[in-house]
Amino acid sequence: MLKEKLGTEKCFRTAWGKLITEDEAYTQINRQIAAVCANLFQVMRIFEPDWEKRTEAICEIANMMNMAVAGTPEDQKAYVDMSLYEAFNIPELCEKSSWLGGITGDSGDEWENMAGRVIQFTRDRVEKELDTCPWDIVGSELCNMTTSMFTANFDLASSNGTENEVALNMCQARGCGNKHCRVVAERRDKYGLPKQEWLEHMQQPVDPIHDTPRERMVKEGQCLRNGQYTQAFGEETSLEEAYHWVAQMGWVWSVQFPMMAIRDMAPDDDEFLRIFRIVFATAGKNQFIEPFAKEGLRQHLGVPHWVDDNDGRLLGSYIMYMLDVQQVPYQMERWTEDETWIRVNTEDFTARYEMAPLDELVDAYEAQWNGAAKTLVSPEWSCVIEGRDDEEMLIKVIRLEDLRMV
Amino acid sequence: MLFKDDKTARLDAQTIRQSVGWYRWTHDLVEVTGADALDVLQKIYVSDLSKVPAGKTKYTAMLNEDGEIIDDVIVMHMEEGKYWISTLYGPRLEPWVQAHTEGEDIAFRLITYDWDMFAIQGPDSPAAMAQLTEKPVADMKRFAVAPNTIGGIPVYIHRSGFTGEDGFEVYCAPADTPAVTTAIDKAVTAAGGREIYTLEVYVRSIPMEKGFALKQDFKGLNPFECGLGWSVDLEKDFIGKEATLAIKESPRFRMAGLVFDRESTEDISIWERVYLYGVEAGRCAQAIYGYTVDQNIGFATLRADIPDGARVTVGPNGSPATVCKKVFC
Repeated sequence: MLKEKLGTEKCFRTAWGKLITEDEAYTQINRQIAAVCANLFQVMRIFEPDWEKRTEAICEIANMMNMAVAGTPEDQKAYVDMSLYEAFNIPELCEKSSWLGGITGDSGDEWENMAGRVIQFTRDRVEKELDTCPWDIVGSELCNMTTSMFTANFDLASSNGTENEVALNMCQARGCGNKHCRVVAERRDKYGLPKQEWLEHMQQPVDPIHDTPRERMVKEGQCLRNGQYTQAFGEETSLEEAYHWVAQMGWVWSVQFPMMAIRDMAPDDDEFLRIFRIVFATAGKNQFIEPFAKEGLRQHLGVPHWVDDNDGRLLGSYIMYMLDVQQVPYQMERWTEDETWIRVNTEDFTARYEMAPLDELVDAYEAQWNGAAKTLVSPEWSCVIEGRDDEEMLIKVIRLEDLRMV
Repeated sequence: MLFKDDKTARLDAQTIRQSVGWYRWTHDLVEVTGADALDVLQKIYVSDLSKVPAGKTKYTAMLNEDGEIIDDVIVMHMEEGKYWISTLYGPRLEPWVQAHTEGEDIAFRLITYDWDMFAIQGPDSPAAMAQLTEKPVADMKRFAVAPNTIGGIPVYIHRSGFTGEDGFEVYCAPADTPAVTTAIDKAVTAAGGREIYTLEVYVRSIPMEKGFALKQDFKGLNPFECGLGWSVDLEKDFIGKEATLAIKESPRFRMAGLVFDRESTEDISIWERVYLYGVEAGRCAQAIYGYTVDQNIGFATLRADIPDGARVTVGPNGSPATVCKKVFC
């Protein structure tokens, strides 16, 4: 008997008809957000040459914003009860304390395709080891910043008010070139450790670490390996749920939070935007400078051979692909060899997480895609985004003479 | 994750197996009362609870309409018309029951925060209990529950546990927890035991060695596919019975044990894929080190036709393992 129909899998179709699977799209969005974060951190390094100053600034803001999510101290305890203890079904398995931050952190890591494991999970010590991290291209400032976010989670989970009981150290970091990322939380009273300042969270822990040998390291998170993430107490998150969470929250922690501090490092808003756009334009130009990068994109999107190298739809289809990957809805207005017009709801584009709109994403992508137009297609082509202050915007790939090209 | 060379975890496991250990083991507890309580519980759970008199308890399972286990619990018949359900998923029980009842006289109360619970487990647990409670408990049968006192503090004693060893559970009001903790520690220490520190030892490693699973290990399985057929009373009605009858005739899966070759299992998370000759043949619910058997072991949901002794690989790095019964010692 022949099959009567083919199987179905979740995917989207590129402008040229090639199917991109959910796995591929999910992998791509994590790396794409990391790339935007990496560009943003270059902006930061231009405005603040002192590593300690800029790292401390982003740590402070990220911690503050994480705490703010939970509201007032009373709200924060309720938030903890609801999101941690009750969500995990074993409300009093151990006394309420910061150790539960280890489980929270594990969920977030796996949802963002950071592949790893909880090595140890006891009342006095939590050790989490990662074998991969999509954000490992950004740099050590981000690794430090994440410790300030963990601090917030641990503060929220703490049993003594809102100050946590642990010494928290990212003693290895892929962003620093280590084999693993490793975060260890050790109870301060048990280990006789002092409370830490923002820049003191990358020290070695007291107890020895467990180093997973290379042959047992993993390359993908649980969502890709197994189609779901299951935390220690059996709660499951599907790949689909994890993907949608990343499409919202990935932007918030790794772009929105540091953006707030980095804007303050610039002398004024105009200067911030000037440098910001230059950095993203440069990134865009470099994206497709090599012929094999263009060839790779054509193959990935399934661009037919009859589409000429100087056809703006090459960039148009790349932008459509990127919007699909990022789960941003859009409508096609024009799709000819002379122009691509893509209509997007402005809030969909900027406010991936509704509570935290990122207007800078318009500047970032306009600059980057415009830069990419020069190398992916040719300098005859540009990308402009019109109507950013309106309800809907138009992303246009058009032929345009630009006498002041950045 | 537990490793062979973890001395604290090994000592914790040895204490439970060879002596007596205590640990805090509070989890969700739901009180069910009302004239129709028994009738409703009979419909929800697969076992015949009418045979459980006051003062006795019963391990049983809750199924969905497809006959798949969605929770496994201990129903404790505390007194006439009053049941406690010991579960890890208390808040989900009431909505489930409400969706499957109409107008019955039944009341639910989540009492998780009203009762702290301690486990005292191991062969020397009767000796520890003899020094702990005012009324003797040595004659209590397994799955019996009775009121008692510790230093004048009212408690319930349940002769049960999740370790495969002789053991007791002590329920007390949270306000009495400090005094009860001190008394338990003193009694257990006097009996040659100690407090158990490693969560994964008493939640996973020790139970798994004896074939005791958590709810997530039963994912998608019917009791007849995971060795719990004995708990099912097919003479009565319950949610999922029709599907259960079909599965009993033709099981789709089997819950098996796995013994791993490698010395550690860092690349095996919960619900990792299992392969037979490279073809996916099931999932590994979880792997852990067992200090009594001194091996990395796991539970797996496999195709029903895969026999004990089959060689499989698990996870992204092809960790080799042998299929076996799910009781390891």
